[in-house]
Parts: sequence; structure tokens; C-alpha cells
Amino acid sequence: MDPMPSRAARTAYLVLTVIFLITVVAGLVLVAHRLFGLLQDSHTLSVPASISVDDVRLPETFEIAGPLPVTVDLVGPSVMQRVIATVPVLVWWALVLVALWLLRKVARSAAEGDPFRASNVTRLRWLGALFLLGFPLATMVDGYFSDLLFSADVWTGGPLPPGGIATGFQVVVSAPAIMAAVCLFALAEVFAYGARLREDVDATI
Amino acid sequence: MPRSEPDPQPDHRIGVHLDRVLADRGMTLTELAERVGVTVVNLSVLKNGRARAVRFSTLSAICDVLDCQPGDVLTFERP
Repeated sequence: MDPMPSRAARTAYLVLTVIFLITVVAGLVLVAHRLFGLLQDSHTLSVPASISVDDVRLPETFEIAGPLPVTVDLVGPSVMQRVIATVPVLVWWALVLVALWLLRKVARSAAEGDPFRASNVTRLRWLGALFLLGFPLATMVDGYFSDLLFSADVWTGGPLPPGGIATGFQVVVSAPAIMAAVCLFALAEVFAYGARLREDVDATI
Repeated sequence: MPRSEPDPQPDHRIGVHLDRVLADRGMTLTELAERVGVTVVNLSVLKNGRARAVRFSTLSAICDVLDCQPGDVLTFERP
């Protein structure tokens, strides 16, 4: 059977390639900024964190559920503090890069008109595993290093809110991530069936 | 053109004797391919026993051109 590339598939491949390249560059810039302070005052390191709503004074009629995201500026960070603040970024960056790379490969095969290959089945299963296991793992790493950065032994940025920093080493169960994983595993089986059909058709005279 | 080569160890016992019938008729594979409307590569795959399946339409065209029966081209090989 001759390949049948479609314009939509080629466009998807092009878009994913652009997004992948942007992610590479953005990740490099962000890591460089975290490690060397390239984007702003090199003596200040801005890190995301969350604080308890109890530490925020709000009017009585206001109510916020869950911890509040904030940005904390650490003046004069040490090399160790910069490294600790960079590790979560690296982990998330790697996760997104791998996912985009796999998606791009699948899109490329579709752009070539031949998506039903065994290699795409493997890629889709890996994507599902990334969502199922990679997302909670990255969240755990993020929480662990955030805990470490704001721990008494490491933190030198002045007093913390009375309620502390509301992050921590925790296992996050994300319903959207699980649903995405299930969908990707199902799609992998569809592609596996398609690959078997294609193999039969290719070997049919 | 087949995208992937069929398994070297096919899971069937159908013998293909296209080369014998071609020799009897004094016809080349290229000529047969042209008259049947199948590529030489595909017919070669069939001739060498590496095909997994043959469409009835292809088999009909082959028998028509070679003036033979399917049993002249295909046999079942007992173990």
C-alpha cells in the first residue's frame, strides 16, 4: 500500500517540531537563569512556592481554598541553593522534552503517510507511562527539593511565613494525567491493531 | 510495493509454483506482471513464497493470463 501523507499530519508535525524547539530553548534559558541569574539581577533567585491561606489577611467575605502560589526572592543565593532550585526545573523540562519528542516522532510517521508502525505503538505506550508515572514522580521531586530549599539548613532568605511553605514531598494523584495515560494506552492498542492490519495488507498480493 | 518484508518463516504450508508454470508457458515474470496488473516486486514476493495472502482477483488474473487452474500455481504441502 502506498503511503498517503495528509496536509493535516504534516502541519501537526511542523507545529510539534516548533514547540519542541521552543521548549529546548526556553528550558536552556530557564536553567541558565536559575543557575547563573542571566535574566534578571544575578544576585536574586526567584523561586515559586505556596503558602497557607492562614498567613494571608483577607476580608471576611473572601475565601480561598488550598495554598496560595507565591514567588519568593532569595537574595544572594549560594551555588547549592541555585542547584537545589534548578533540579525540579530540569526534571520537568526533561519530562516535557521526552513527551514532545515522542509525539513528534508519531506525527512525523503520520506526515510520511505511514503511522501504523510497531515503533509508534511503543512510543504511545511510553507516552502513557510518562503521564502515569512521570507526572507524579516529577511532582514528588519538585516537592522534595522545594522542601529542601526552604529547610532550616539551607534557607537563608529571612523569616518564612508562620504557616511555613506549603509544599512538600507528596504523591500527587492527577486525574487528568491518569485519563491522558489511559487514552494513550488505548490509542497504542489501536495503532497495534492498525500495524497488524497493515502488515497483512502489505504482504497481500 | 510491500513496506515490510513478510516473515522468512511463513505460518502456512502453501507452495507456490508460479516459476514452473511460467517456464511451461515460456513467459517471464515481468511480462506476467504487466498483463496481470501487479508490480514485478509483488509477483516476485509471491513466486518466492514470501506472500502472506493472495487476492482472488489477483489469482483470477494470473490463471487467466497463464491459462491454468489455481491448483497449478498453488499446492498444499503436507509436513
